[in-house]
Amino acid sequence: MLAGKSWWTILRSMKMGLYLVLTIAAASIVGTLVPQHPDGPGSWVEKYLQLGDLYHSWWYITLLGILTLNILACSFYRFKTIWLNKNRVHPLLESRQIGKLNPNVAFTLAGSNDEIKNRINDLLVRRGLDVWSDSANGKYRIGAQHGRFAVWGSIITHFSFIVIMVGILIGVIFGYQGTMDIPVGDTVNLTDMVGVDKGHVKNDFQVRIDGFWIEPYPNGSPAGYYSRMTILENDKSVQTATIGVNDPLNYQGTKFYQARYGEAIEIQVNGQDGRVIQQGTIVAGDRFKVEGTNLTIVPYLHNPENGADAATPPKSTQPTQSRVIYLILQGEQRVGMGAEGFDLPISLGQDGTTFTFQGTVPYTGLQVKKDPGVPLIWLGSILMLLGMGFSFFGTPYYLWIAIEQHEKWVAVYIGGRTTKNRLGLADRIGKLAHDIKSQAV
Amino acid sequence: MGNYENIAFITAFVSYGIASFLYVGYFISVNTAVSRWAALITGWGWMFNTLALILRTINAGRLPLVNGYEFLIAFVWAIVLFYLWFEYRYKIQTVGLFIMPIVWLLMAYVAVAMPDSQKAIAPLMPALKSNWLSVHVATAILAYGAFAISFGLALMYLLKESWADKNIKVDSLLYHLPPLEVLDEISYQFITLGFFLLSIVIVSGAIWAEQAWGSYWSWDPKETWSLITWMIYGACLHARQTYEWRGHRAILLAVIGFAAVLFTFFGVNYLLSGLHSYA
Repeated sequence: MLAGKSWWTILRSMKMGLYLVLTIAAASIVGTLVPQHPDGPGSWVEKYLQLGDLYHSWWYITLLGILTLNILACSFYRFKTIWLNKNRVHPLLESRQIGKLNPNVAFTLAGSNDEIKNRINDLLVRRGLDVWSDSANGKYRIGAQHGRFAVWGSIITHFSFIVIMVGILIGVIFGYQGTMDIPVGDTVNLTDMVGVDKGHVKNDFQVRIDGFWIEPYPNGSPAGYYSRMTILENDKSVQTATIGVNDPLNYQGTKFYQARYGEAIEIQVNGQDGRVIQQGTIVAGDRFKVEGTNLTIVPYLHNPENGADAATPPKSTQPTQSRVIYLILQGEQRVGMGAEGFDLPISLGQDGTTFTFQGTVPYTGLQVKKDPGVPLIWLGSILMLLGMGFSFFGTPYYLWIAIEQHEKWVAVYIGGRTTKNRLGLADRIGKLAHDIKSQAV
Repeated sequence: MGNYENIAFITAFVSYGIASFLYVGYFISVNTAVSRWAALITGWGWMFNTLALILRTINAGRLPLVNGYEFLIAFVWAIVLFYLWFEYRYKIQTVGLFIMPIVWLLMAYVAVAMPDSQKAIAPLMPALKSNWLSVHVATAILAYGAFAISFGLALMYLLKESWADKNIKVDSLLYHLPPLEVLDEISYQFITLGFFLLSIVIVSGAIWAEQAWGSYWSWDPKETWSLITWMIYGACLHARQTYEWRGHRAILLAVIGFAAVLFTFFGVNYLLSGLHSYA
């Protein structure tokens, strides 16, 4: 397939695009079957091929890159061909040549050459075709073209793919994405965002959560949940907003999405003498570092209503019968664990230090992201649908007609050519012939 | 009301079953009276299918496009709608043999295998409360319906092709199947329509995901499989313009494409887990 062809011929070939798309489709199938955990364990094959993060692996991105180049090359080549042919008038054909076209029809009519030529011309113009013609030796030859803009549809569609790829690239380079679990009442720096899974946070402002609430259906399941939040710059409030699922806040390109919710635990550490050393609020399952030591407390809520699963939000926002299950870690070593109710001091080491779970406050889980590539994605999407509309629902075709005067009748030959829907063109030519005949005197 | 809905569903299910058998009967007997009855009963079943959707809309107080049950009933509705239009437009009755049994099997799955919990009218979860829901799901149903017809035509093409070298009796129906060129052309028309609609499905899904999930693309299994389907049909459209791929191989891609459509629905819902787990 590749022998004897220049790299340019290969790169601009549709066949290469075909193989690439099918390969990428096959690779994508693999990605839905192998669990996608970027940091998960695996054999060296899985690690080298990055099967756990297949859609961001070096080879998947390379395939997408080559496909982009291929589409770029194909579009350029196609554009060049169309541009060069733009003003070329298709030569008119003789009846003998029209008889070789598929589809074609031939019939005879009573009447005069000129009158039938005018009638056909009218019918073609009324159907929206561009018509040109000549005459010689009592014969008329007509050429006509329909849907000349349909050819641009394909180019627009393929160009849109490039636009989308550029949009994705801009998002990868200049964007970021992460999550923030913020207890109600807390203020958090955007740069302190934990769980950044894409890019670097470049904006520096604060977010304060003023409230969180759930609107339930009559059966108790959530109909919607909302956070009231304030954006602060240099400790000055600059914007307040309420966000909900399907209703994010866009602050200067950084978007805040309501993603989830749950309970956070208030912890207080007291010294031997009872004085408060440290205070904080922490989401269940997260690590609370005790200052001045290498100890970490990891609390989990045990709510009798829905078990100890910290991942599922509690059914009610004010658990009354909750206890806290906790681990104490020294470095990565577990040195203690237990379960305790609220407001009861728990001993932390020999020096008499204690800690207390004081209660719970709801927290809201926000998805935070900035993606300056998104407008290009939408532009590309619109171009894609527009281009497809042009090329799929436009009807490009050529018609050739010859009209020959015989002694008592006129012979009409009609033939057509199209790159798509030849059956439809056959129908059209049949109808045209019918209209020509039905208007005959 | 739920009861009437059930009666409408069962009437449609039974009608599609009878129509399937009649289309098989037509294939064996080559009796046009049989095919006329088959089309009539298909239309009858479709009316009750429509009624089931209307009653569901009234019962749920929203468009029936939310759970697996509603999607399947609407999917079947779209397939039969396209099929009836196709038969009226092209006067080719034999395709019913390749379409109606699929329709019937999908209905049978709902009637027999689908757990009641998936049929129940549940309130919308917060992420689904969006104006994009109806655009996204309705175009998906129409796209899949168009692909189903192209699949039936592709199967016919392959059958006709495999019999091309053998001696076929002049009075058998195989002899009367439309020419390969015609089957290829019409299946291409339906793939074009389906591909355009699927593109709208993916774009509207991306806009919605950007609003609800915070990212226009997350490689969720359903997203990925709809992209795979899109790529297969995209390859199919290009294959028709490539010399060695025209005809047989392009038609094979149309068959594989519909397998991907079915997997996007059944496989992803029941075998893989992801953000789309509610539909």
